[in-house]
Amino acid sequence: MSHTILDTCKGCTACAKICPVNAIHGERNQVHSIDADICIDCGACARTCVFQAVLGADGKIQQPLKRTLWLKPSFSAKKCVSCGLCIQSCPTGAIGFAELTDHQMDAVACLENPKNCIGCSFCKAICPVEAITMKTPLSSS
Amino acid sequence: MKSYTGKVLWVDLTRKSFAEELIPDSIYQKYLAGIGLGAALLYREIPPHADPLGPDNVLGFVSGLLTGTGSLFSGRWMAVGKSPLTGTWGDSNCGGTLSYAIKQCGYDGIFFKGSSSTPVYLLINSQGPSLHDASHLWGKDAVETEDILRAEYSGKNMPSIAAIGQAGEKCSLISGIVNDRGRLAARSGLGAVMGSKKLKAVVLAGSKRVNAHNPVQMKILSWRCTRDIDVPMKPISSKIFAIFGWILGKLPIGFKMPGFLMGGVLSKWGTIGTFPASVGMGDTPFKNWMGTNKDMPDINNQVDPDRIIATQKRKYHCRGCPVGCGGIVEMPDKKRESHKIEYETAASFTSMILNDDIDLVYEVNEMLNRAGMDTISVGATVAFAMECYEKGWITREDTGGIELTWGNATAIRTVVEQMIAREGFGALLADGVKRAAEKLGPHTLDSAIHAGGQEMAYHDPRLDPGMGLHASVDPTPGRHTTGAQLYYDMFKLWTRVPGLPQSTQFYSKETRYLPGNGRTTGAVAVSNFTQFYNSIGACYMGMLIGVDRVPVFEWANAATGWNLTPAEYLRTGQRIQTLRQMFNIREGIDPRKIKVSKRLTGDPPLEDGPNRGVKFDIDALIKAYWQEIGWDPETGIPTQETLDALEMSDVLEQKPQGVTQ
Repeated sequence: MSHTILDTCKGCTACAKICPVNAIHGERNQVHSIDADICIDCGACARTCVFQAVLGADGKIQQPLKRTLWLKPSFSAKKCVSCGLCIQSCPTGAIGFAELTDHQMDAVACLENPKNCIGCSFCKAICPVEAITMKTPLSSS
Repeated sequence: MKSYTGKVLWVDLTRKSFAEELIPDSIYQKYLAGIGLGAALLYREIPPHADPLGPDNVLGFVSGLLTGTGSLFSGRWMAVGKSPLTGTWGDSNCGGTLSYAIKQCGYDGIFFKGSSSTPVYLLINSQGPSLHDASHLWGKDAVETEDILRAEYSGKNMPSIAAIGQAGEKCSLISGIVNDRGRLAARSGLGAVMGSKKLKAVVLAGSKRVNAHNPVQMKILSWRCTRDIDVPMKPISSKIFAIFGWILGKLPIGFKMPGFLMGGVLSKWGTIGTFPASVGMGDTPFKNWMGTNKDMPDINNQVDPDRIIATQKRKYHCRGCPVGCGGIVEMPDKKRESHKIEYETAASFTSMILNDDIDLVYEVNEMLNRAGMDTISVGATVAFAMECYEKGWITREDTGGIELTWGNATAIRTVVEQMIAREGFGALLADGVKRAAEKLGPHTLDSAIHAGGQEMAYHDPRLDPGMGLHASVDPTPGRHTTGAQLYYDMFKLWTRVPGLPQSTQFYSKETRYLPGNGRTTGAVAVSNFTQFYNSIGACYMGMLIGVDRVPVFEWANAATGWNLTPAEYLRTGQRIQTLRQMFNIREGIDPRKIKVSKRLTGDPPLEDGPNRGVKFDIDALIKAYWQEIGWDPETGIPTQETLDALEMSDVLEQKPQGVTQ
């Protein structure tokens, strides 16, 4: 089940703008809708919606959260095995390999484009070696 | 949740139309995805005796059953179609990002039929598929093409792009399909099929998620795998492998190769890390398969993996691979970057043509990656031409003034440039070694080294006759990735499949050249396993680490929700292998005529080097293989009994169905 938008939607378009896969459609000031076939359940729309008009995949209304408080991945270079599954799973291209000074070494994953991160946790979910911890920007700093 | 999408996209390039086809679960259960799904669909869609470069041929891009599910070593995609080079079933495998991108578009495969009258490229994004004019890209190399399209379509999602270069546009029969700025699905000549359809590129910018039935189990399996394959090689010099290979070349006995070292070697050096040992033990051919490592006694200094990775700017990994055998290196001019030289490319442009100029190898590697041309086939064809020149079958007048002597770096570069452009003397060579020999005359045929028209990769069957066997019996002939005795040792299938014989720790080298001793059973198991892992999107280099450490069967079950045993998965592989053979039989291919050139079986034997005096009966090995897999031992045609036992009537008798416009 994908995320869905309720009739309480005000058509502010914030969710459509944040959606990384362009699954949300609607005219400004009109109720928007989510294409279930495209939605990847990242939850960014629900976290964005100040009108609490988005139902999560679990059928519950999500609470909006200021974007600066969204969780972001923190990477353990010691644990990372450079498989790149996190990079593959990231829907916004926020993750990449860090530059290393030793060119013969495996590069480890890092949050290459923090502004792109939408806190979906897909990277953490797929990492086979638990090298990723989701933290609020405050705690990760 | 399933690991497959349950549908494929058909693109009709003649009509400029699209159709989605829903694939029933039963097809996945019997043919998996990847090469198996491709075989099931192409057997139905390609009419018998279709012109490989005509509109009736179908070109497919297929993803793997495990790609994107959280498993490791499973990010490979395949191009499938009828090969214009061999006239047989054709497929070609490549890593990088495209396999996952196919699934992100919501498909397990994208298939092209018909042909466009003008150059086009396919775009798939969240708006769906669309075809666009590619006139402005025609004539550009594959890297330039990719850069232009990437700049145009990089939005919220970074697209993955496959393209052909100039070689594919000119329908060179040894051209491939390029993705990730210079990585090739090089074999079978499928770049020419793409060029014949005027399809310049495929731009995949989908964003769908890929699921697994049991993601927690996937994660546990992958975690265990990362723990089991970690073999640090950092303090070790590649010189030690040269010594190791030299000793192996001298010994009258062989031993079971430890697969677990493979991950460490590939991680540190890439495939070039195997070069020194291969040279020493007699795996690497010299001088168009006529010479030995004594022809280039200093080759391990010229092709030194330690020096090559010293030029590495960064490593790269296929998605889902903790090894990362790829690398971007600095070119000798210190101005450009290119992909790290692979083992095959190094052998192609050093030992095969007696060239000791490593800078030339960097240069032709970059040229051919951009042009989209198979470095193995190009090197083999140049080596053939050099032999012809030495024997006086080609003169300086024929070459247009090029002094085509062994190791002449200037001449090699010029000929490669001409082959890419299909100009001058290079035009004679641009379709590979078999076509070149046919043009030069019957006296040159024995010097054209191939199987069924496909140039052999550089692993000597006189050392491992399994290389010659699989290159002869596989429906895509001439390939080093379809099997070898070495692979059976390293795959360690007996640890997971009851009844398979265990390789002995030590053996007399002479026993390798005869059927029996479990070798034939092992060869068929390797074939079946190869079809299995090519269907799930797995990397054969990763598989060489061994199934005792890489839980590939368990991943397949956790990803799909099935509960099949490893033996049942090998049975599925046998079904795919047999279906590909049936494709060839329907084409009128006589399996007895696609075996490796006789020089590779020791006819005449080498007089020196690690393989001196070796001569073996390839026909005996082939017949034993056919018997073991359930094909007629005299003709290589799958028996009706085998077809019935494998329950293949659903595909062999199928009619088009389920396609929705």
